[in-house]
Amino acid sequence: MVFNTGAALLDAIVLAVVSKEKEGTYGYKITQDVRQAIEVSESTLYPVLRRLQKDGCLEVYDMECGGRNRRYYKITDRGDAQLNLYRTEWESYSSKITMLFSGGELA
Amino acid sequence: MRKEEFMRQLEALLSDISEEERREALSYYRNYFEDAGEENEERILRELESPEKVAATIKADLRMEQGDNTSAYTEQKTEAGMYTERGFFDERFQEHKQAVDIQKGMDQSHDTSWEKKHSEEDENRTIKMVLITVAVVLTSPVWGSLLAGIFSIIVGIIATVFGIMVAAFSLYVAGGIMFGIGIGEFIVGGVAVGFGLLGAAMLVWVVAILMTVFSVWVCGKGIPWFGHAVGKLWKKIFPGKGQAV
Repeated sequence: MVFNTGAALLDAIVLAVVSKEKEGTYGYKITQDVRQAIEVSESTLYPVLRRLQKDGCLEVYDMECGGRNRRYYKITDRGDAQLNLYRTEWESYSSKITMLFSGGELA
Repeated sequence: MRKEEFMRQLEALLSDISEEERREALSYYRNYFEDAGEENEERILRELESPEKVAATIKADLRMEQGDNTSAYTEQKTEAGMYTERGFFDERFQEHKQAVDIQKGMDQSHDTSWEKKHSEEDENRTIKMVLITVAVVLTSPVWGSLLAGIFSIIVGIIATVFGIMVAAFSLYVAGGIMFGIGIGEFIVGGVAVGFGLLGAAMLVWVVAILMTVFSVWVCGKGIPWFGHAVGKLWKKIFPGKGQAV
């Protein structure tokens, strides 16, 4: 992709992906879902997930699945609030850029 | 490389981070391989590239956290932004740098992301300086003689103006002396000689005043004009630089 994805946007995308799954989701699936939107390497998301977990935006729990433990990530209230903040910011950011690209005047 | 081998190497590479962080990271990647299934194992190993790279990504993020745990939540995000952007860049295009980082290991654990970025910028600047120096040395015959020419013209003009000023000054003095002698002649000698000397003194002063006016004009108008002309010439020779400035 031509455009860089900064940490804040990556955080927002990951939060959005995780928040879609009410029961929580797991690392491999998160990576595949994020990849539908942006290019990330397989090693990019672990530090992001770990940081969001430490910041209290995500919580983790382990669940038995097919004879082994699988770690699930679930969005917290704080993560939800953060995601809403990102949504609002993105709305204003992207609409301004779109306006600029389409040759319109900024309000 | 098989995934067992990959996990073993990753564990070894992460031996210098805390027990908890290591366990978390290893269980994430073990989970990851299991969820992907055996059919995807090879693709994932290929995309992860190497245990070194994965370990570097994990450590880079931990370093960043340690470097800055006092600032507010949003500030952390901003700094993280810069770092992760570099991180993407590092991963795709600058693998050596991360590989080197691993070898240095946690000696650099206090490095903040800012410092790292800063030193890279310094490096870039040094390279630029070296390139500029080489270019300057290589092209020195051309611009060297040009500069020498301009310099000698400037020195010549300054010397001429200075000479005229000195001459004007001595003419003022000479005029003054003649005027004084003229006054003396009025009293002691004849009126005709006195008038003659006074007239000569006035003439000398007129010449001195003309010289003064000329040198003031050269300093006030001529030199700025010359500087302007040199500037124009410079822009013609280096059009790119001229526009950039």
